[in-house]
Amino acid sequence: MGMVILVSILRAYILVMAAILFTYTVRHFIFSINRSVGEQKLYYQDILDSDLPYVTVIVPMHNEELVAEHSMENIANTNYPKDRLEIIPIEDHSEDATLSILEQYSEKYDNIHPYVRDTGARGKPVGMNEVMEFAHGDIIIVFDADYLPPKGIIRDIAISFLDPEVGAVMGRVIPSNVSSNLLTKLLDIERTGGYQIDQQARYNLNLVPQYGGTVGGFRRQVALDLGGFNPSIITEDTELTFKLYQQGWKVVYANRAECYEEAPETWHVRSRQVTRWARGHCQVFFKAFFGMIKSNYLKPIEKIDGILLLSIYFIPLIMLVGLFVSLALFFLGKMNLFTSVFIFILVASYSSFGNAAPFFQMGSGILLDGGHMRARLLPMLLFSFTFYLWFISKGAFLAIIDTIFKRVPEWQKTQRFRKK
Amino acid sequence: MAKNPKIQKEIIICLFLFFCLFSCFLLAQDTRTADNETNPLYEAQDEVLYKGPIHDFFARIDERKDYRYLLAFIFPLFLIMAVLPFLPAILELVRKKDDQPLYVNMDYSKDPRYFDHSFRDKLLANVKNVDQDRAFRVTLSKNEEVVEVCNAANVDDYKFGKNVLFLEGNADITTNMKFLKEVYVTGTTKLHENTILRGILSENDLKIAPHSTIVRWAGSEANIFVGYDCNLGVRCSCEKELWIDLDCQFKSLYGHPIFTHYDENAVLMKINEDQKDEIESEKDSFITKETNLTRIEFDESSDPLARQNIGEEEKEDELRTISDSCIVVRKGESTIPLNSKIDKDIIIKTDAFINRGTLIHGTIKCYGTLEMDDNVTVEGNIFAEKSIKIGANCRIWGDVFSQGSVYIGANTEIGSAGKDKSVIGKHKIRLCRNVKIHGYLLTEGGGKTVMSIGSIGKKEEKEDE
Amino acid sequence: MIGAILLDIILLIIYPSITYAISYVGKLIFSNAYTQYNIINRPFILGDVFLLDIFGKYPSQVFSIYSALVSLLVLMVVPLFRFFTKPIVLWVVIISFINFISSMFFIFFANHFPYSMLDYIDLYMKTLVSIWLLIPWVLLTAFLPLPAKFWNKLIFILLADLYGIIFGCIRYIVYIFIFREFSYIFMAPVFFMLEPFFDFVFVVAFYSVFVSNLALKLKKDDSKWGWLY
Repeated sequence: MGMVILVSILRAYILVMAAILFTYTVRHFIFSINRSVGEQKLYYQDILDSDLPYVTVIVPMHNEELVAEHSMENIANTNYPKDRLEIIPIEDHSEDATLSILEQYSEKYDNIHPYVRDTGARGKPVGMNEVMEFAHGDIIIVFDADYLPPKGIIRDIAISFLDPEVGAVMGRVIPSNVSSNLLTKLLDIERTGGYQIDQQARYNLNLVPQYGGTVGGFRRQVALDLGGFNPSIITEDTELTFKLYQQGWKVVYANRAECYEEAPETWHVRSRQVTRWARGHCQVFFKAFFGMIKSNYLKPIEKIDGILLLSIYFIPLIMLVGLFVSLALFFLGKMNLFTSVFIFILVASYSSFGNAAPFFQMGSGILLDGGHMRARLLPMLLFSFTFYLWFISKGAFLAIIDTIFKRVPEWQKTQRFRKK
Repeated sequence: MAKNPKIQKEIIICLFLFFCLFSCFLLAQDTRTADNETNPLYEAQDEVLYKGPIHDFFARIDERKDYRYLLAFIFPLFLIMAVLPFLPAILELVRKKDDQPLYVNMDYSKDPRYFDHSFRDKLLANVKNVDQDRAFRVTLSKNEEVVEVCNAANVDDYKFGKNVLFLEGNADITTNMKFLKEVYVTGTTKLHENTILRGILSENDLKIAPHSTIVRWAGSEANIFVGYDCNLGVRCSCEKELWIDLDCQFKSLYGHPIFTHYDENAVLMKINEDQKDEIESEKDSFITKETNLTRIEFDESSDPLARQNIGEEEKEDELRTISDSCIVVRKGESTIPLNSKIDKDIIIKTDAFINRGTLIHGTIKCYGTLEMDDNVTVEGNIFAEKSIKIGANCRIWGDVFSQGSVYIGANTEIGSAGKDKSVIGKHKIRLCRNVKIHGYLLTEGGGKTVMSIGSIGKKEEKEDE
Repeated sequence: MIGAILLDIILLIIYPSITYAISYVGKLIFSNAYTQYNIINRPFILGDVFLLDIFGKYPSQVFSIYSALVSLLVLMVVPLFRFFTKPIVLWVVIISFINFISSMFFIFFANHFPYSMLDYIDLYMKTLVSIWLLIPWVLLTAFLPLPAKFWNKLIFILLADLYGIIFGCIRYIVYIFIFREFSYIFMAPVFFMLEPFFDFVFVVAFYSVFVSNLALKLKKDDSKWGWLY
């Protein structure tokens, strides 16, 4: 009897997992179709308006001597009216030459005002909270220190805040070091699938595009009214996204606001990064899940997409548990055709080999981007399947532990690879 | 052996793993074969008689022979087929045919006169290279083009067709001429009827007579006057005034202001240089005077929110705010009553109708179709997920942005002198007479100057969707 | 859609012959002077799948222990190194983990191993046929958003399915060989970590080649692709 119940539970798990993965597959398929043949929604970039909002650009930095100069130079030379632009790089407990670089730029440009943090806890959310208190901009735009913003990007991002419902805007991140190695090439393909298809389709379909914490902006006062950023959550961007949606604000995606970033060049660095993302995202899941369901501002379809977005980093953990369940079924002699075919469907559907975007989504993205031979690297994503399965599961697991034991995770900085 | 200690370590690990696998292989010799007696699960079953289409082929095979040698083919084939799917990827990794980052134009910034500026910069940078045949070469978009330099007065004799033209002086291009390439004019340009041009930049006024066609773009550093039934291509932009007559088609316009003027004689007179003075006074009457937009006195005591056509009992649920300066209206069709005054941004989650005389001091965001009656003033921007229809004599001080179509009624003014504002309609834009737009206008579908817009019918709504 | 249905109809007609052919090849290879293996049939969908009624090798206690120890060693040693984060090593770790579980099972419950070779072959063959039937649908779905000609898509789907059939048949022989020569202990790792991935990798590979060829073609003719924003 006990065995029957156990087997039933295990099979039920497999069924539920299949249903979840199938849902995600359908979602991503709809996104791919929408981007390829559906009607595209205009972004606000074409609006030409002399009355632009006052913008504060924040660049959090910790030991960024390799990249600080480039990002500062690019931001200072954007074409946004200088009298409406304030640049605040946050020098956060750096032990290298970051501060002296920032001081040089502060002397060179009137609107660059570095904010030095050498006491208190380190981390982007804490620094951002402090700067938001005294920043003059109505709009805060954030760039990571390794980003290279083009000339027109601040206008392209800021213009969308003319829409009174827009709480945050997300631009597009493009890896600049694609040619470095296989990892950077694969990350480039993932980004293509994630931005060119996923984010834009969610914007087209009035779903929930996500603010990604960099190459994006938000309303300063709204962020302050929502309590600023929670220092115990390591993905402050995801937290802000869901807080905004719950309060009736919208996040829009600006595909045209493209900005180069430096992708991690070693699997070790990538593992730390993706674990941190998964951990932070799952932390937000526990905080925002019920809020999203209850929010009166959201339509049912937005709620569904929001929940799917919130849960996305739990999928590898669910799949890992699924592997154990399948193993148990196998040795119990209960592995039948359904379960076995399911394993194929599991891989084929979520496919994608576990990277949050199925292969057909990435393929469509490459095509839209005008890429060609890079599409041939798609089978190589097989190698990152176990990688993501493990490290995202680890992040999700840590988030569960954080939530249960009320732990505050330590902020981690992503290593830079740019040559001096 | 690699000197890099990290690689050495990895090689050691690989050797270790190889050793482990090899041990397994050796140990495998120790295993016992299950047979009919020892394998509790094995029960030999009778062979089935197969009568399929390939039966005859197999019937000819001698089963008594030893066919184990086939494994020597099968194993390599297995390895090849396992690796083959990765081969295109490996080849790409080696050849690196497409390993550059996606192109981002680092110098890009929004410029409604991009075509003009880029064209002029390229020509002026190369005009010094003009050779004895009075020609020079320049790369425009993709291909290198030959640019012929000639006196604008001689253009009538021009055997036009394949080269870009650099015309010195004032050009007066006679009727029915066709230019397959771009034209640059250092003075004033007048295009007579039925002219077809790929692109033109005029350093002074550009006058386009009726029935002309611009394939790509037209620009002027001064004014542009367009006669009726012209096609203005992808973009028509100028630094000063842009007059457009009835039945003109366009995609993008830029002027200070853009002005739809259906007084045929006035535009024609403008095009006709001989009547310059008369036209100046005529123009003043349209451009510089405040149109008959009189600001309506509003009933300050009225609370427009209380007069929504949504039920009182629903009000608590329907109206919410996302900030102190914003109202959210939900469900059903929302109507803003006559002569209302609203001092906040409004987000309307459905179709909306704004009655005449309303003053909104804020921005409107509408998720459905937004229809505005005559004499409405909006001291902010207008955004709509579907179409926007603006009635006659309205005054919009900000931008108009629609994911559907934009219809602008007669005598409506958008923006204000000295500032750029935009009218963007994804599907189409229709402009009635005497519409004045200070700044920029863009549509993906197609724009047209029309006599009247009427009401947005079901057909048009369907088209928009 | 029509292409996928057509392919599936053809597959439904020919899969009994394919399964018989490959079982017959297996029979030729693995039968010897002492043992002649029979081909049997099991009903599946509209017809039968044909299976080689063969047996494999049970691992000895010693082999199971050694196999468990080796797997455990890999599991313990590899994570100590920095290159643990490399995906290929993670593959080794997961395969080792499954192999460790399998070895432990054979150490303690060898007599309770629930599958005979025939059960496995039965499951394998039915899974394979199901996957052959699924491939046109998976690729059809993936090709749907792409602006390419119907015939080009059909040819690629056909090629992918053909590859799947040939590769599936070859794997059939290889797996039987592994289970006969190296025992059932490797049944679990083979089943979990190799089978579906082998099937899926070539599906993605065909897709990737199709997309890259299409992209190259479209690059020459910008008008065909309306990239807007």
